[in-house]
Amino acid sequence: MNERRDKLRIIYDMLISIHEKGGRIKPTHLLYKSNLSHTKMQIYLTELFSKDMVREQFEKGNKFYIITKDGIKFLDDYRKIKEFTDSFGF
Amino acid sequence: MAAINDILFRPFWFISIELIFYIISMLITFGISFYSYKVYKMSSNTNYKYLAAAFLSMTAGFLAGAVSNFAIIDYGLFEKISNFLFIIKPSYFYTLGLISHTFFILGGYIILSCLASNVRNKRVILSLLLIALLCAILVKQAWSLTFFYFFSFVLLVVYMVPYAYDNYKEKKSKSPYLVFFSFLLLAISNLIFIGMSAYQIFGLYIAGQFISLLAYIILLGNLILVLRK
Repeated sequence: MNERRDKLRIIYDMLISIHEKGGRIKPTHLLYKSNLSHTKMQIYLTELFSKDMVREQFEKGNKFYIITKDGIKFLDDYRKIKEFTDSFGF
Repeated sequence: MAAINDILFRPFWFISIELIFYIISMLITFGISFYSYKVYKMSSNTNYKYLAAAFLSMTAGFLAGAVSNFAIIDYGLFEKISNFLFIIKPSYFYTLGLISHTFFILGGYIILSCLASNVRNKRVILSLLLIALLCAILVKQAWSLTFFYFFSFVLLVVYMVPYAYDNYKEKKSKSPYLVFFSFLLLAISNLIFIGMSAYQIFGLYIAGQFISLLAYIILLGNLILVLRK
């Protein structure tokens, strides 16, 4: 059974998906990798745009999502937060 | 000034060393509180807000303990402050410091225990905090200090140590082990303090303080491990 992901984990999964694709990803690939519905993905993307962790880029008529420096910093912070929360277990 | 050091069964020469221990512990607990709050802000997990509150309470406890010790070490300074203020005796700084130290340290353990046992009932938490306050106010009475150490020991042994051990068994990694071990050391130090206050043995008090400091240093080690990831 899949563990229910919290918000922070979902954001992490989305950003790591983009990061692992060389820092940019097509929307359909992100939808597949993030394991979210289209509506949910749009909600989280709105938050990622507002926090400047992801931006949009158009190239030859194709849309891509690009991870920013703030997004990469979040990935780093998340690992630390995960380690901290695992150590106390709350 | 040695007379006001009557209830803690420690040699006078140890007071300045203990002051340093309190300052180190204060800085460590503040660091953990700060990072816990940061985790809460990022994750919206309210458990980390309470964890931050628990360690902040301990920070306040160590600050109060440091002031209390400093009032003994530099009694002359506090005499001057009292003369300037007219309203309080220098020994009040020591007593208030001791009461605050007792209350805030117990308060921190109570919040941690409620987190570990998933108690969120405000009445239960308030009742426990009121017991801690009573223990603190009566700290200079016979056996009240023993009760403080006993209460701390029970909270740690019944709630925190088993919780941390179960977390370590589940995660099986270094960080949970360090947290478990530090809570275990805190429990051992309080057990030693119970023995000290019951049998009035100075050496036990010093040993207990060293073990307590080691526990906080291990928590600091865990925080450093996390931040270096």
